[in-house]
Amino acid sequence: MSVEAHSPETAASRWLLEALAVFAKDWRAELRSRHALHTLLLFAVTTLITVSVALGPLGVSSSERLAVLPALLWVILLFAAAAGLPRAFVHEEETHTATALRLAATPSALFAGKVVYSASLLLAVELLLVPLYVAVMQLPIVSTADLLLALLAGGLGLAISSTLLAAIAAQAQGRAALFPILAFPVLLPLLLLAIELTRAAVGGTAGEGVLVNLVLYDATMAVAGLMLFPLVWNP
Amino acid sequence: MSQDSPSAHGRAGAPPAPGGAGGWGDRGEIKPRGGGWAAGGSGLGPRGWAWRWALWLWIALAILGAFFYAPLAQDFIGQSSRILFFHVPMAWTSLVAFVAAGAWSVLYLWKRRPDDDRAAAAAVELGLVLALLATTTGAMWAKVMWHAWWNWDPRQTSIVIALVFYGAYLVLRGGIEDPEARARLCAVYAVIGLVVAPYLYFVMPWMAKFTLHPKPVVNPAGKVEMNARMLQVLLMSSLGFTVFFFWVHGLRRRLLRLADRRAVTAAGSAAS
Repeated sequence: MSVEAHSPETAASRWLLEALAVFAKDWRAELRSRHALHTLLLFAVTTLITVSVALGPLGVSSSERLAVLPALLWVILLFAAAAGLPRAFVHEEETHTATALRLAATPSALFAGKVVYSASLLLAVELLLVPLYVAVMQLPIVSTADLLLALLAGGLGLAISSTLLAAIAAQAQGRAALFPILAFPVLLPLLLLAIELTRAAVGGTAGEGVLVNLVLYDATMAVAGLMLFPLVWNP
Repeated sequence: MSQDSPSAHGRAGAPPAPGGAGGWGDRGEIKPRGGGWAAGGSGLGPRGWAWRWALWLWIALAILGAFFYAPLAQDFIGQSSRILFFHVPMAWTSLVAFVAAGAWSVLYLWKRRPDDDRAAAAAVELGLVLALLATTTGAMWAKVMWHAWWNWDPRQTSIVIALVFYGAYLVLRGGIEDPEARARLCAVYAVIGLVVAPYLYFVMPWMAKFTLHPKPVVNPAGKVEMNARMLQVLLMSSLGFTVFFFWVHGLRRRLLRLADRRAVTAAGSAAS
């Protein structure tokens, strides 16, 4: 945002600087209030407790736990994302800073900055939540690499799709309620792929191309987001 | 759903331009046909009646063909295979409707013509009705053949996601007052649907690894594996449904156009 118009930088590096500026601004604002981080984390922990208490005393039979627990982990992450991520744009509309952002940054750079911010937020939550989940649920991790890849690619895809859909929802009435409705059908393929990969990480079997399809989903949504976001953002 | 009250448009802040060319309330877009509404009667000329009667006749023949001309399929319980001639064309036409809605949305984002937005909205509405009918007939057939109304067969999953997605599209339409913003954001959402569709139609069935559905009539091998009489009736019914869809779509589009025009005129007279 502090980039000056007459600086000798090329267009590409200016775009990057703008994206970084948006990313830095969002984190600075976030670290002052910690609102989104607390929302996401508390939502995730609350859902985790619900799941754990509901299943814990009864126990899940060992044949079913490998199928059930990865699915529940991603449902928790989806709920947390739906509670925290739409704020990225709703907050800009509510505080009337959206217009300033429209003037300050290229739309695609703004989108990239917001995606990186949302992804880092989500990964931070995963970093705190997943070890807790693994410990509480006594999940046997067979392949740590698969688990990390699932969390990374799944979290990134969740951030990309959520950012694009949050920008749409922020401009409509009933923003908070609208976001999950818009996001669910778009996120479902991603979630199913991520659940499949997480199952492989805890010792289940996954199809060959699950990771490839997951990365492909992220890439398609990233390209679609970069192309469509300017249409959403600028009247 | 997409017909807001006139006052809603008045508050929306878009400059009301009654009679302006290409605007949301463009007067020039509607041409009364035949004698026009003012002349009484239906307003249809002889040509208009001819193809409508031909369409009714065509669909009537397809229905008769489904019950009296086509043979029963092998390995199906009782007469249940006859639902094929209605279930498959409905699913097919809903697919046509959703793809057409996507195409009109791309066209809107490119040319920014209000009429393309109305066309997309009308296609989504009708596509949803057809998809609901396809789901219902499918569930009935599944109850007879597979002994369960629902079992998350990949194609059942796909059509449910499509229902939820386009339902969300209509909720989004209802949530935005400004006609320009509504058209733009809904068009973007419909395009996102086109982007996700390959995952619903190819990746998820591939993940499920099995399907109870019979192989598609037009399969990758390019071979048609169906009794000739059944195929004739199926194609006849599919064509009838598709033409019927485009006819009703045209009516719905005109209705949306009239609603927009009335809203703009009301906003204009309220302002003056």
